[in-house]
Amino acid sequence: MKSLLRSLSTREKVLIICAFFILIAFLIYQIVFLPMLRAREELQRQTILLEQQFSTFKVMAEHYLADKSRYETVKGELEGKKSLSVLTYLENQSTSAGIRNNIEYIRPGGSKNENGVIKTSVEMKIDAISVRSLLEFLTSLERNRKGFIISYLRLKPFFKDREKMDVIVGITDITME
Amino acid sequence: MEVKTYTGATIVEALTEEKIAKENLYYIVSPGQYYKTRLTLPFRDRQKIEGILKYEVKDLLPFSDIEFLTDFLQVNSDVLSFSVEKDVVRGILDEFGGYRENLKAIVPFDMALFYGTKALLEDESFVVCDVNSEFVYIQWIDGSRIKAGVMVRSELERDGEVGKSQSAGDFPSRFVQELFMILKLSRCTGVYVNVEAGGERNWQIAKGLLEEMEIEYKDVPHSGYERYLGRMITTDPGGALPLFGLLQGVNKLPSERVNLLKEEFKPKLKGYVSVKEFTIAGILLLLLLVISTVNLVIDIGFRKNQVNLLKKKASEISKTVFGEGVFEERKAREIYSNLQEKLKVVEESTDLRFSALMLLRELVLSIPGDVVVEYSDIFIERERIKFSGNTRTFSDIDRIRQGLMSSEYFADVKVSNTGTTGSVQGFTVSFVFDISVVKKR
Repeated sequence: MKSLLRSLSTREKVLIICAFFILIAFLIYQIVFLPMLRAREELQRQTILLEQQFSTFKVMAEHYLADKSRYETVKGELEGKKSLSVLTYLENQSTSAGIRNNIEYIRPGGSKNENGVIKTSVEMKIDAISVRSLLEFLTSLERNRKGFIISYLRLKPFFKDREKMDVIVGITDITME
Repeated sequence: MEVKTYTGATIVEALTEEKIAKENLYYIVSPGQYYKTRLTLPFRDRQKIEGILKYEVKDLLPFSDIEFLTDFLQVNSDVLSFSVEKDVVRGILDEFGGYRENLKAIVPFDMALFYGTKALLEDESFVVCDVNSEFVYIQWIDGSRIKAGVMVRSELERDGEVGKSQSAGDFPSRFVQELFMILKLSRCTGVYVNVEAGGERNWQIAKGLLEEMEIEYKDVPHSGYERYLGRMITTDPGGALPLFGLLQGVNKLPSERVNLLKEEFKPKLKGYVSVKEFTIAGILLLLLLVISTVNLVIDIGFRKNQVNLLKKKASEISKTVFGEGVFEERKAREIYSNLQEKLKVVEESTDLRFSALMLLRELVLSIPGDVVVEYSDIFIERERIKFSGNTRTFSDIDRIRQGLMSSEYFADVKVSNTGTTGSVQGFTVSFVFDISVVKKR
């Protein structure tokens, strides 16, 4: 090998060395450099995407925490009334308002679960009640029980005394699952 | 630059002593080793001249079957060609041994003397005699042209040198003859003299002849090129004149200089680079590539860490906030959307703005206080109110309607079944109001 190299002219040696270095450089570029360059580009793309996602995710997490806190507060309030049923509540409130005898009926309308929120419907008919008493009674009903809402009302004049009304009250009481 | 004289040393020995590596070398070929020919051509294109010159010159040379090289100097339509046998060039290259790739030009003595004297003398036309140990060279320069150049040998002809056969005894008469001829042609009355080291004997003969012929002579001013050549350590300022001329020629345009190193002897660019240098350059190139690759590896590592850190942070948030250990934006969005839905249901269900009692209050407050209304039926739902009754006048109905329209709770107010009912004290107006309630409050 050495004798072969010695027998070569300078020009030939330069050409061989040139070819050797070009080959090595080409191999390094193709096998090592180029795949790494692509990997870096992919990582760059991934980093940008992740940074964007992370930023959005952080904002979403902040909003989620705020909403969750609100939800937990409402939930806590609603869970506190589980011990007292809506019918008992109506009975108690009408007694304390002095209109128990005006109530013709209290009729449960069944429950409905909406995404973990249980809506219980009750219909109540009150006869011959003055508008003032009705408003006071209904207001106290809503104020004293969280998640208690008058869903509909039907008022008609009491046939004997037009200053009084016959009223059908639709009630929706909300509790958590 | 320094000028040194090496006596007894070969070119290779002298160059080795000077530790020459990659420096360019130039060689002044003696007038006895080349032929000069003057031609007048009908064209001036350099490439054309280059193409035909060799054939034109061939017939004027004293040999016919010897390979030779030709270069030329062009002044207007005149072409002064210089031809040298290839064997002479090979011999010179052999003398340079391992330094042959450093040799960039072989310049005829005529050109070196011409460039040197032209740079030093301001005369338009002059004759110069260069005297050395072997010959006296008489050159006539007119403007930018070498009009004549004659070598008068003082020694016996040596092998390989061209020119007429001549013995040492012919020297004075030949010198006088040639000088007279040139002075006659040039109409110059005197000559410039440059004496090289070793040429003192010939100069004494020539000087005697010049004085005998009453021809004026002056020394070529050497001080003119001392500043170019730097400190003169040589005792041969005369010998430095052709060297100075050579350097002047090197700096000229290719078309204004003559180089007999042509054709297969032409200096090649690759000759500048040795195998060792090439190897070093290659290794440096590879090193650069390796450094770039290492840099890339470090960069990739850094970016991978960055990605992992982002993923880790996202997972931590995901675990803390959503209770999911692995970060998945889609799943997190699903959880959040579920919560929003629940929250909406809970808030809407517990919001008293949606209460029928609130709508009843709004209804009562929206009806003007001075309007007397007798209700017969009121039905209030979450999104609709329907109520009927009687008023005293039609305008009361309009006022009720305007009052209801001004409320932000009511989107649309319709009045239907308007009519009158009889009474002892006059008629009353019956009505049915149908109100759409705003959905989002």
